[in-house]
Amino acid sequence: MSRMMVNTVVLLAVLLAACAVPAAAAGEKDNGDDAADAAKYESSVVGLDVTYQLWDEDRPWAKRIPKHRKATAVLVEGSYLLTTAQMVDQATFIRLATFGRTRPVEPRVVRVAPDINLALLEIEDAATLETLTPAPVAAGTPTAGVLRTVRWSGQQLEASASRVIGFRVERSWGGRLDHAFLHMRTDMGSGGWGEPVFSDGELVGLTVSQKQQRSRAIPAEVLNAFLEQALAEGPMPGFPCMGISWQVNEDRALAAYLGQQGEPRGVLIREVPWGSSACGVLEPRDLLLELGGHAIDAEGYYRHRQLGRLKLSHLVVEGYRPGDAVAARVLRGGEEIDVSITLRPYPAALDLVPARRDGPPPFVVAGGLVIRELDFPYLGTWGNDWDEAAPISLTTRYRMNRNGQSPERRRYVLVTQVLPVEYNVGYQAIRDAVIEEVNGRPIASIVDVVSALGEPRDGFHLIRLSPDSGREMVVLDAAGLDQATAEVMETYRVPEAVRLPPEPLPAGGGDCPGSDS
Amino acid sequence: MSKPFIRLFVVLLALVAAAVPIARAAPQGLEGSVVRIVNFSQRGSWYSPWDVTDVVQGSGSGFVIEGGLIMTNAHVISDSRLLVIFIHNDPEPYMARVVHVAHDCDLALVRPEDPAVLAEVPALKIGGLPVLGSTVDTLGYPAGAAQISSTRGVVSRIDQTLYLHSGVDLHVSVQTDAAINPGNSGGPVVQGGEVVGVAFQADLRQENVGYFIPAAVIDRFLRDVADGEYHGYPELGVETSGMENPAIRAWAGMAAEESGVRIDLVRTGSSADGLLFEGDILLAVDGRAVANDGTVDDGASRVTFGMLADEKQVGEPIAVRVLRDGKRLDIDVPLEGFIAGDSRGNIYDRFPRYYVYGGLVFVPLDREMLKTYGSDWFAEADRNLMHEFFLRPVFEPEVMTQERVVLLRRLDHSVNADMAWFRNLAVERINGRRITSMEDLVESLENFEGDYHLIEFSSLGRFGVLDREKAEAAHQEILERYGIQEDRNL
Repeated sequence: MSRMMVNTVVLLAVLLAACAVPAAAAGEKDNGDDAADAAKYESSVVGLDVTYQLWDEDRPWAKRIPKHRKATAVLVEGSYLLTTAQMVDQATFIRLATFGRTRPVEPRVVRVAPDINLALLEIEDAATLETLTPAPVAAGTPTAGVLRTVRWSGQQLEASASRVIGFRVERSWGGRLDHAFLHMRTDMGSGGWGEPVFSDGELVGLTVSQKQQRSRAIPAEVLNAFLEQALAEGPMPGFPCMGISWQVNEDRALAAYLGQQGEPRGVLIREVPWGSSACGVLEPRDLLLELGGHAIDAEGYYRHRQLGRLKLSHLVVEGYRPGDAVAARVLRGGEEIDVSITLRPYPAALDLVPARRDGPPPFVVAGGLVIRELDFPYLGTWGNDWDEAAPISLTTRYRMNRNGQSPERRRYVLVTQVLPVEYNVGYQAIRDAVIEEVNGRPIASIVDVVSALGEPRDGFHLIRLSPDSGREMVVLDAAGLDQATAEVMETYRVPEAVRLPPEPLPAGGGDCPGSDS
Repeated sequence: MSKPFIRLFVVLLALVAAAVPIARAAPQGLEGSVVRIVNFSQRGSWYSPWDVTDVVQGSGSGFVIEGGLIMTNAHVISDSRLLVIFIHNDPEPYMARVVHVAHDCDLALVRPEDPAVLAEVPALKIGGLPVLGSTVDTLGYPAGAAQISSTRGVVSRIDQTLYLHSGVDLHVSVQTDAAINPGNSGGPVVQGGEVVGVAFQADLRQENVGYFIPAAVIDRFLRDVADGEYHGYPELGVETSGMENPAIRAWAGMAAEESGVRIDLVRTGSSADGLLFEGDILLAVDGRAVANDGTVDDGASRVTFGMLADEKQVGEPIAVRVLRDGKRLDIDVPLEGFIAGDSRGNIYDRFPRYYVYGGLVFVPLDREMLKTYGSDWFAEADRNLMHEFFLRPVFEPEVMTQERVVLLRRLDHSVNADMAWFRNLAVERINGRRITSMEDLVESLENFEGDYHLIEFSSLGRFGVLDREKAEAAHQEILERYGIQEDRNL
């Protein structure tokens, strides 16, 4: 608690200072001090050797072979290291790349925020900490000039010049949160693995990807928003998200149709998903004119005090916390009205096709039917071009119904395959069929499958599949199910028949679930 | 029954090109009845639906049958603008015209403009189904050559095959290793002096795998057109699933000796609509017991029960035995054609339907529209449109009989240039009216008197708005600017 207070005070001070300083000078400024700074970076930047292991999403009871990745982290405060969530994703073993230090050190993962792709690790080894110095985090990210991207390469510290290109609001790795990313042209080769970016000795970014020489980093504004929460005690409140989908309002005819006079401005709200922040407040076909006191233009941009023109979805990530209210002005039915939106985190639990960035895949093996929920990692089994390669029935459900969750349908539950034994003859060709009902009960999530299988009908299990499955009914002999499952587990080396999600999905009632959280 | 969603895996015989096979002495002196057919064709452009493609000259084969007619493949004479035939050893070109065409089974009948030119040409007789392993000869004019060629091979398989000309129809075909090359299309496959098939397609992935249309399909076609009109294949209109698992048979109340398949879907408006129902167990069709995998014994081999409807004509009944609510019922189902007509397959002999309004180009969602995404359209085409075309009729059966309309593209003009989401979206509603055909769309736009047209699309709540007065004022100018003579073809 006390730590958070101190941190806030520091941030405020820096913020005020930043406001006093005029905007970056025109022309090119090199924000690194070259060799003089190297020593400073050297004591705050560390390498990470990460061993990780992915789940076998086709055989969800099994894990795939372990792999390694090399990443970079930066000491930001006390004993805390900052890196991206992606770098520690599915990690089974993490240690510092020692660079002359003799003892292997295993940092402890303290916080992971997949939605914003950041993680906090702690070094508990005092001797190691003595050799390190925390790097100060800048209040704002420079909008021009040359920055330094830093990592360990062999035993050498590599500090590469990275010129600022600009800022773009893009989707984060972890799910559906959009925020500003710093785009740079860098001299570094093959970066994008959590390398810190510095300006005048201050941390201004953390890289997440690189294509050729174009590098992308999470900017200081977002790092600060994370650190403020991550360094505080208690559960992290998370990051707010509007959760709406919108389209540009450049068409005068459309604006006029919606009752807007003059030049089109604001964006057209297209969908307000169940469970999102705007649920119950904004409506489809509203024109969102202002958010948090910022005017929204016809292309969906607002003017950020430091970073310039940004897409509106960044607005609430940086300046707000879940539970905060944000004021909005909308044009509805030809009238401008003011509304207040109580912000919620991105409702990942409410995704119809979730990203599932943590934990093992839930599954049920029943009589050889392999049952699981449709999620990103499963779509990923069709490779990087899964959008073309995966069955159209699945990709369509992903695309058309991304935000389409309802109390009746929380997840798509699939029979992904049938492990063949005599018991399930006739059904062995089923692949990736969506289950609608089991024993007359609608299937909203995989948890329902387990409970419904406990209530057979007249000695049969009746599984009704979606109309695009090529078969409507799967009927199994209820008395023989357990024995058949045991046979399947023995034959195909399946160690457990059921793995359910650790927590049930949040309550599904009401117009906007989760509003009390 | 035979409208599978299958990726093309065999390559249609093109009409010209490829290597010239070795010509042999023609068997049995039948070569005099085999003609070469040259077709000058032109198709509409489904990407610029007011436009046409270049004129293409193709060459195929055909053979003379009774009644002064020449039988050939539909794909030899499709989209014809001028048809010319060459009789064996006669250098004279004779004009001809198409009498009947069956795109669903790739057969056609052609007649010379002057019937006298066939007076001296003997008609070939249609025989029966050749025995597996027996020898057949293929006659024709491969590679567009003027000299006839004959190749010999054995009958290697008799099975249901996708007929590539329509791209969606499954019928029996016969596989042979006789060389069938481009230009052979439409030529007779003969055995014992009789025609046992019409050469029509080849699998270019495998060596020496050619296919011919067997006599049963030819006979059905000739019977179909006997009244002067082609009606096409009848369809029962049901989707079924197998009952190999003993538990599902017990659940359905079937006796130990019974077998059948479960009806999962009855297509709205199909032959079976109102007579058969979801959940019925189909026990027998046309007097033949349906096995748990959906096949019946047709005397020679096992074929899927839907093939029994293939042998019937539109209007004929087919006897069906079902198990429903514990009762065994015998029902005669009068057979009708496929409810969606030719809209699911490749389209021939007509120009694309379209309508241009305010520079917005609307077309029906059909296979030709999807093919504008290129030869790999099945993977490349817009996923939302693929969903609309292939999956939506599965979830909403009535959509199968409706025409889905797509906003194909926009002819840029100040009245429409700012409109968001302007291409490749299926139109759901216009001015509040649900759009189920091109005619709906035209009426909704032309009979509307409000200030703004509201065009709602089927995906993600997208919509666009068009200023009616401005759109109407600019209409003629847009057509002229883009060189479009007609604003519609309906």
